[in-house]
Amino acid sequence: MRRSRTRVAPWLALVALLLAGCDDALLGITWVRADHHVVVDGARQAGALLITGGEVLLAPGSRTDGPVLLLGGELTIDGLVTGDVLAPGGALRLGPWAAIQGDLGAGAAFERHPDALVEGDVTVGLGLPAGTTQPRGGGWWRVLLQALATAALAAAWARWAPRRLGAMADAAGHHFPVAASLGVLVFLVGSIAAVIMAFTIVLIPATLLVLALGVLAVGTGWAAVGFAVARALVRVPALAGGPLAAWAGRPVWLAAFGGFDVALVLGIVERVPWVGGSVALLVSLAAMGAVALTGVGGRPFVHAGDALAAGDA
Amino acid sequence: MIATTPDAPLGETPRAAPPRGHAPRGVTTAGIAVFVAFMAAGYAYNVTFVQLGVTDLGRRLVGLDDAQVAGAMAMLAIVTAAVAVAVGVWMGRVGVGRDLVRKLRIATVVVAGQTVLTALAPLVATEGAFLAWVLLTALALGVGVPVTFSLAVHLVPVRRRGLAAAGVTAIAYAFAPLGSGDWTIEPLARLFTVGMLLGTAALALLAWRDLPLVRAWSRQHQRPAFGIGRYLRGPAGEGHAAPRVGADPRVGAARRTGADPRVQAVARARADARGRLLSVLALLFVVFFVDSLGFLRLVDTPFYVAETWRSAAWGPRVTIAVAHVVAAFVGGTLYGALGERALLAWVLGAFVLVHLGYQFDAQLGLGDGRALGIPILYAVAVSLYTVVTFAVWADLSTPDTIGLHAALGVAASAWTATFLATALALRWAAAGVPFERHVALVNGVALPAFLVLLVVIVWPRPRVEAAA
Repeated sequence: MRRSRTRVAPWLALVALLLAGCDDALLGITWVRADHHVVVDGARQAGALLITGGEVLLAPGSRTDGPVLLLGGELTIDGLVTGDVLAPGGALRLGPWAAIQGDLGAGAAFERHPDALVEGDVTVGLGLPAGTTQPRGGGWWRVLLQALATAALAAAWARWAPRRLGAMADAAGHHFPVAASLGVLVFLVGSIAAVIMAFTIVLIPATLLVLALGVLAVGTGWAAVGFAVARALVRVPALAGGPLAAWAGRPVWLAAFGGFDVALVLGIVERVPWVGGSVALLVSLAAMGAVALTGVGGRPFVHAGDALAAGDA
Repeated sequence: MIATTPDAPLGETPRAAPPRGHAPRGVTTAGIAVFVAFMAAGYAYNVTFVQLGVTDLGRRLVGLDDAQVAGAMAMLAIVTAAVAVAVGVWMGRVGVGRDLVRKLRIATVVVAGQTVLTALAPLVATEGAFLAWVLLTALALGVGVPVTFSLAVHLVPVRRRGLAAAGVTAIAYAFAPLGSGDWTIEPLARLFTVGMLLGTAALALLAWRDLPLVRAWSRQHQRPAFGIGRYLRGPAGEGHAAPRVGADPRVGAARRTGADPRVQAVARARADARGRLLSVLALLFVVFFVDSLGFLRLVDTPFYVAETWRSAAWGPRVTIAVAHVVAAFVGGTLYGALGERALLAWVLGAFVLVHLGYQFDAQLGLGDGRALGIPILYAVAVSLYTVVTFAVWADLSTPDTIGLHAALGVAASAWTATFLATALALRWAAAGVPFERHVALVNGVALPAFLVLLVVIVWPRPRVEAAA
């Protein structure tokens, strides 16, 4: 039974994605790309409205339900909008009969009639003001919390799915270049796919899911890298007899130790000028790649070259 | 609790034993270096000199219009493909695929002929001379492709083909964005004549002097580590997941009918090899077609190239070149490590995503033409599939089939796709199809192809018996 569910899931996901993209009206999105469009007096525009080009007039007496996103072109609101209005691009004008029940975020090209009503918060000049960005790396507390979270995650994997953690650690430890290479692709493809999905609006939840999975994958990957490092340290003769050697038979503690250490070291290395960020990025990519290579530890990764070498021998 | 037996301490998977009986490292390294240098030079000649130089030669020096130049390019593609396939068949029949020295001698003659053609190119002034020049160039290319690709079975061990292909790709693409962009025939002819003279001399030295190194290389194809392509080895070459063990229904049928399982196994291996070759041919046809169809329009759209590939500033061009090089080695590493399904999914998936990215960018008006995100992903996608094209034909072949397979791959998959895409792109441009529509149409080809590939990937595979 479980096997058949596993096979059905990708098809359901595929059908859902196809349905999401097949028709504007199906999921309540209207996408205006060109030409002049008017929502006339008495008309009701249901669902989200995305404008990337052309001109749109929401006339007095019209009603628009759902959010309005303006990325390009011109939008004149002179009717009722029951959702939020977000206009980082294009030109937005609020006429005297405009009434927005949600929040309003507008970019530089913004005109507002004094009689226009906005019930929610108004933000004009979208974008981060200079000097408000945080320095890279954040505080030491963040590094410590990150290390503790990774340790907890590693311990959880070692407790409830030790074979999976072992497989991911093998992939990260024995096949670091392969894991890093696949991590590069996963990162590039995943991040650009997430951006593309975000612009479809209907797939914003999928974007958030992808981002959450990405964070979880990196955390799990760090746990696996930590476990691989800890396993290697156990075998160092100079450390024999120390507390670490005593944990050789207690994988949960070993995994927690490794996860904590790797996250802590990466948090410190990240702050080293010039090379620190690159090293931390490389390890994170390899961590993510190890997770992908093994299907979250579900199968051991066998390098095709190793299999060929065995055959040649 | 994690298993802590001596065989699998702390949950580790036992690793494969290292190979035995290797040739001296220097011999192998030198062979790989020669292969990489030869293929990179050949790729630069084909892409930069022939594809770009011929256009300038026909238009500017001879005075032909676009349609006539396109016709000459079509003739070049068709003649090259036909000659390559014929030479590939001939190589298999007379056993040239196993004879390194003969291949080096043929390659020397080809490169010498190409050097003469290159030096004469700026002197071509009439349409007849131009067509004759194109015809001779096509003949040389057609002979050269199967011969040069087949050097892999002597020079590059199967395990190193991914990295060798990465080296070729990195060298070929690193210089393209960094070049001056002066793609007129005179400077190109001067540059390539000098380089090819040196190359001819080096090849002649290898082909006619009885060097110990060449003698060592010429025997290497007899070793399975060189002579039997990775995808002809069954589960051992697939990688990624551990070989599956179970009941293969075909073997079961052979047992029920009393047929000799060894005969069945050979027949199955041949059928699998043919299936793999056809699958890779089809997939790379799609990739080349999508790439040519999309990129041809892209390079004619100043908004997308003025501040990236053709930027006056060094920064964007260096960034794209670095992306090509990094992606080439990413591709090379993954080529040697992953199974074919995962590898091909990444190659086509990256391409589909790039073109989707351009479509979104064009339709939403998101970018200002200076953003390097999509060009970098484009460079990654191009490098990935180029690595595959340099390595995969040898890995689908033996010394007897490499000539034909390389010819089919390069001719049927690459040039035919490129030629068809070029013709279609010219037709759409003549019909006034806007950029957004053009990219959307490209996605209309790419997305269904990717969905088909996904179906193929998730389709359950017949299980294979581990060993009798």
